[in-house]
Amino acid sequence: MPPSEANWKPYRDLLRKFGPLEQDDVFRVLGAIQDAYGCIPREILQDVSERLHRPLAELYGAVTAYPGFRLAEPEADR
Amino acid sequence: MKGTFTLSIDGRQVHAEEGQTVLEAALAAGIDIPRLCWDPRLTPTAQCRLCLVRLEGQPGLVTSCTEKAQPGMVVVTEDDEIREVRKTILELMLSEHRLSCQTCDMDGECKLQDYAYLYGADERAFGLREFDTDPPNYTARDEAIRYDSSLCSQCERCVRVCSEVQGLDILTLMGLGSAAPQVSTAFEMPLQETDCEVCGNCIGACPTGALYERGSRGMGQLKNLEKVVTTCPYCGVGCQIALYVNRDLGRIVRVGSEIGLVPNDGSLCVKGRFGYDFIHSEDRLTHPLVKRNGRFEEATWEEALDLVAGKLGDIKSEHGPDAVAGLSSAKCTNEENYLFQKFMRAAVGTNNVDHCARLCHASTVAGLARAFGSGAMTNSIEELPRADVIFVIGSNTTECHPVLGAMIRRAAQDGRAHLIVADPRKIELTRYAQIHLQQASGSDVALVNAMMKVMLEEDLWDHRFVEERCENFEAFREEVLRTDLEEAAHVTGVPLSDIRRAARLYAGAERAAIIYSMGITQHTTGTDNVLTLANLAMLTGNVGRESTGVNPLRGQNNVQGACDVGALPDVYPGYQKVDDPDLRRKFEEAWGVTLPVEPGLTVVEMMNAAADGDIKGLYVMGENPMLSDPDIGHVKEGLERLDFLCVQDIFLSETAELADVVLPATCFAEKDGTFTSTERRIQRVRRAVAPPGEARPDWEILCDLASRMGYPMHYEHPSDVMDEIASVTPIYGGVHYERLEGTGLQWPSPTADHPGTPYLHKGRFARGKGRFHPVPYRPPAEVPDDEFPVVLTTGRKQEHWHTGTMSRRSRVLDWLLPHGELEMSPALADRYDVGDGETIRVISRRGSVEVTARVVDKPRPDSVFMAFHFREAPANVLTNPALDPIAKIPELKVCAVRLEKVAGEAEGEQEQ
Amino acid sequence: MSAVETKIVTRRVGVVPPFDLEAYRADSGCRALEKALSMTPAAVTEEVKRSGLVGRGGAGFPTGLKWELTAREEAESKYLICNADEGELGTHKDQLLLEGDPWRVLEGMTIAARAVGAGKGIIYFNEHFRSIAEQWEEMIRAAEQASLLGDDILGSGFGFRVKVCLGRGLYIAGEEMALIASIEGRRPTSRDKPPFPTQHGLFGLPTCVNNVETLANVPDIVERGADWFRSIGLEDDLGTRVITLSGDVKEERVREVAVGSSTLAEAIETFAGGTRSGRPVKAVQPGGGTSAFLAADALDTPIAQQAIARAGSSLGTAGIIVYEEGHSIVDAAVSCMEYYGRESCGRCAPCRIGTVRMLEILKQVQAGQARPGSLDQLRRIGYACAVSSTCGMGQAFPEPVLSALKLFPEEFESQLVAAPNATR
Ligand SMILES: Cc1cc2nc3c(=O)[nH]c(=O)nc-3n(C[C@H](O)[C@H](O)[C@H](O)COP(=O)(O)O)c2cc1C
Ligand code: SF4
Ligand code: SF4
Ligand code: SF4
Ligand code: FES
Repeated sequence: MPPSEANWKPYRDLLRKFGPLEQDDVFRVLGAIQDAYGCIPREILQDVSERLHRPLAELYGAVTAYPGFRLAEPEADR
Repeated sequence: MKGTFTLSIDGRQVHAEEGQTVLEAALAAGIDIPRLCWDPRLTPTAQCRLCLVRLEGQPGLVTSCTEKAQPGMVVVTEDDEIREVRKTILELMLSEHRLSCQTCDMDGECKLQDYAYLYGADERAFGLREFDTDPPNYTARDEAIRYDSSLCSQCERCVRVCSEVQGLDILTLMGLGSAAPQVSTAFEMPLQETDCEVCGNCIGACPTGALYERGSRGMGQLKNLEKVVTTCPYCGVGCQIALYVNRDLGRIVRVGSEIGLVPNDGSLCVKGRFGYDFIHSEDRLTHPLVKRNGRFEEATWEEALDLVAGKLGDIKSEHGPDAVAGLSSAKCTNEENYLFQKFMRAAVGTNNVDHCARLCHASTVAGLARAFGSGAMTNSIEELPRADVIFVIGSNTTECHPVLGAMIRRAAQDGRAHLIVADPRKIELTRYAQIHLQQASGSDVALVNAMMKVMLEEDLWDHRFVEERCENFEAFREEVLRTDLEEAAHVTGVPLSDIRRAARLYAGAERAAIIYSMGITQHTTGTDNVLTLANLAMLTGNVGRESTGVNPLRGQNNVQGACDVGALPDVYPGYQKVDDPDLRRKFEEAWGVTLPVEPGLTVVEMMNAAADGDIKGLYVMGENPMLSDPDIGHVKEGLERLDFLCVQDIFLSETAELADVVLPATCFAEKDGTFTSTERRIQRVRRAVAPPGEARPDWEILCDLASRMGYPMHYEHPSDVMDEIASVTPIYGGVHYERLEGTGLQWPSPTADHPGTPYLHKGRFARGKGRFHPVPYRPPAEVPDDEFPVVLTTGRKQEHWHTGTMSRRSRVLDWLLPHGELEMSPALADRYDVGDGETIRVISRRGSVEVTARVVDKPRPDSVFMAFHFREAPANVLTNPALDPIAKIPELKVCAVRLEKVAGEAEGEQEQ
Repeated sequence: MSAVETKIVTRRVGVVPPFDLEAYRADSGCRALEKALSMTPAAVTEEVKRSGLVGRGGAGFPTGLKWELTAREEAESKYLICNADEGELGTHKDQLLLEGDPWRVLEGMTIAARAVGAGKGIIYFNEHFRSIAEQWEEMIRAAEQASLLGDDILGSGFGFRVKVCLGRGLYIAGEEMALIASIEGRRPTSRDKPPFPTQHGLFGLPTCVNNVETLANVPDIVERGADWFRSIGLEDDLGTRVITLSGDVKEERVREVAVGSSTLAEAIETFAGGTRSGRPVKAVQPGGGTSAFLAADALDTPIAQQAIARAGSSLGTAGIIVYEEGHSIVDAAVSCMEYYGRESCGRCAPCRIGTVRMLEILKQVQAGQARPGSLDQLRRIGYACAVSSTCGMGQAFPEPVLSALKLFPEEFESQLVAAPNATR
């Protein structure tokens, strides 16, 4: 998914709702992204990693460990 | 001191230290417990569960790798139940493992295989499964590192090493926990798209064959390989490496490193691990070459040596010994450097001997000798990460001294140490730095003086230390107080507030260590820069204690040693002055000849003298001035004017191409000897393979030549040479090969029972009192102007080394960084309208080079950066040979250039 | 005899409208919090300690002691986590409380936070509780407005805030160390203790993890005192347990009973109306899907930890799963393993691989394709996992299989194919 402006919007919106991100928001943010997009887009995970100063690999490893997170959009939404 | 106590393990009373785990206590006592996921460098995570033991009086089993040893504990490491559980666990592991021991390179060092055998685990107990052969993963197209998930035990050592040792966090396990999670990068990106440094330490940590070096695949199973522990031939960190030799092939087929050895404790960098295939390169010189009618022809050793001895002898008798000069080599061993300078001094009769230390750290030797009385790194590598503040100035440590760089990165990441980085470029370490001072190139004295002025003004200095241990403080203080802070901020381009913060942070530390490298030394003010850093350390009392000091990092594996053993024009081995009559007499006695009185010429002076016709004959051992020296055009002129040029090397280097005679030498893996690392540690170099063709060790060649020139030199083995070095060199007085097994020895070690010196100047400076030097700021020799408006700085890249003769012949290193680039900031790129990857012409007063532009936010907007490893784009065509007046080091770090966008595709061509 | 309910934590469920602060207050809600705020944190902890309350999340750790251990740590901040990831097979007690009397749980959390000195709270819901979690978000906002959460709760100067996490479909994330890793955005894996979360928990800070039902008990203990609580249940196992009756029963039920007040058989009869078909009970798992099977001869065991343990199982989450005559025990074991077989966090080699291998072998047995050695393999794997794994998952998941093999060996043996080559 190329990171178009439209694609960033839901993320920006949810960030606004969160206010200033704290370390203990990380899992909540991942959940909110999954709920907003139906998946966790790569560029957005990258952004979370930068915002929270967390290694991207670590977040990726975490996300892939749950059946409830997806990396690619579900087929139906394509 | 940590408390010690005893506990009982398998009925034996065993000593343990407070904080040790049961496993550590057991291993220390020589009691083996199986363990797959444990790595002494890493926080234990107890994943394999093989190290289970029973504690008397406690129900159940505990993992000994996590269980802390307690006084009086009674431990049983194995009984029938434990054996059965281990066997079951191993059989479960094998049920998920592609059984391929017959074809696996790891056969022989695989922990899983060892334990399976030990416990009689049946590999088919829980059935056999099918595996995809080679499913794609993050390493699918990697030339260096490969991962095979079907051999993975999910111990996560690779992941943890990358995080806890390397500080990079590139790897993770991915997938559901229960579904045999695999190692991966984020999004399975190829490593090259991540911050991976290709250190391969993940390979080093892997207990099975899952992670391996691509080039070693099929080159021999570990059980059939012979391991030779030796010292890395690249940078001055001096990592201990293990060469694995396939005797059938007569080749080194992989490089590893043992955990527990100083200084690197199992870590290596990309060069150390993957950069070994130059050893077996097709391009190695195998026969002596003699130039006839402008072309090289193979010759016998007899012919070649006779010719060299004859030519040098002729020049000597016709023009005097000082018409001959020699370049020794920081890549060669101590023994060879010693013999080289002995050859020049005793056999030829001149002090014209120097080597490329001149180009990197001559100012260090000059500056630190003046201030402290000893021109070497004051402290040890292992101490540095334990400093409270690490002040890195002019050293791109993670790029140039990667293993040490990673240690600093880790210390800063963990908050164990605060990091101050002063560098004109946004080098990688700035990411972890508390403060980054992005000073203009060549303004270091202004910067550090300003810091010291703040310390004086705010009374942040160590009165007692200065009073008791130093001299000449008043003169220094007056000079520093003359510094105008606003002016300094202007000259350096660093905000005054940052200068103040840095001053307070550094001065406030209990233990502050300065680390510097060529960014400090390669200036016309190189000696001044070093003196200023010495001032800074003394002012705050940060010398002569653990984890403090002034720590120059040596670029090449043996620059330290080459200097130590006298490959310098003004000193004999051990920095004993040639113009001191007593010392000269001592050496005349030892060597049985009359020695020349006058100090000789330095590298750049030699080239000038050659161009002027004063030097007629030059003997170059393993150096490549045609790439490494400033203003290559001028160097070439000089070399071409010589009557006779002999080059002794392992490759036909750019310099060798100009030679009359080329002598094929051996590389580090083909001979015995010692290197002295940047931390003054004398370490063994061990022969692992036979040299190619007729190539001979440098020390043998030198002996034969000397003998031919009427000065017989004969040694049975390099250890005899070292014994001679020890006899004439007080700082090496206690060095003997037997004492170098294991950890080597840090000089000074004056006597056979002296344990070596981890840090210098304890209680007393080598010269008595530490001497302050008033150092006013002077601008670089060449500053940007309208015609040449941009500053060019030069340096190194992690993947390559020096003039690239070795590293560029390594498949992996060449794949990683095949050609030179010019780093420029986006702002500057905009100004010249060049995009990333486009070709750009760089022009200085001395020459011009075309090179690919790399647009990155690293250099200052007024500067560009180029590495000097690449013959197609030789940075040193451009650099300024202006010299530091004291150390005679050229200003390689700063020159003024002009940039021109090149329309066509032409790349990497040069004109001079 | 028939079983009787003793309603403490479920007192308001179905009676007082949930998520309604006014109604809660009107039913004496918040009084315990007010009282706790007027006491010293140490006094609150002491009261809970004296009450003898132990954790209801499965491990049965003394709650007061856990609080004391957390309170003892010095740190700039601490966490209180409410574990609402209820994922144990056949257990729905926490869900009942989370949606039936949420203010009670929040009040319990706040008191606990006060006692241990935690300024930050997290409640971590099972993915299936999404709509409850959403209601909780709203409730938390209301609580902040009512000064029941925030920087200065009810003017006491004590500050506590709660964030809501929603799980993502992993049972193992309910294990406290995995739970912490999950919240931290790491792979949800457990680890060996010590250090305990009370010392080194969420982001390295001292962290108290309590189960929903545990926290729901707190307000009454604080309000009515430890002595009152000690008057309920057994001397060595105090208070009530909220039991879930499921499996082959007429009606699935969640009921609160005083510890030891009734036997398994009585509870099944009285609350769930006996077995679905009316046939006798063949076996039960008294403590959720990872507890060992008990055969019919143990049905007279009272619902109390010690007694159940003596009978050979554990009370765990008090999720009583009933199997009636005719229910194949092999099928029962397979469904347990199907549930847990993909839930290892993957850290311990024996648990990670053992779960998968056991499920495979069990399925072969179920399909009548297993060879004679298979049962021994199950025993070997189960045993190795149980003694060598880090956390309750690896230690407990083999229980149902091992106990079924012990209680009903013939059911497994009759499924095996006779070895065609008897010498092997
Ligand atoms: C595999 C596994 C899953 C668990 N799941 C839960 C759970 O969903 N909810 C819960 O409260 N405790 C669960 N626990 C227990 C927790 O680890 C922890 O002991 C408990 O939350 C502590 O609370 P308590 O002391 O109030 O019982 C689980 C334990 C294990 C081993
Ligand atoms: S690749 Fe090697 S080190 Fe990494 S998890 Fe697998 S077995 Fe362990
Ligand atoms: S850091 Fe230096 S010595 Fe160590 S492996 Fe790399 S190049 Fe070799
Ligand atoms: S026992 Fe299983 S779930 Fe628990 S830590 Fe080990 S692998 Fe993870
Ligand atoms: S070595 Fe202890 S569990 Fe692996």
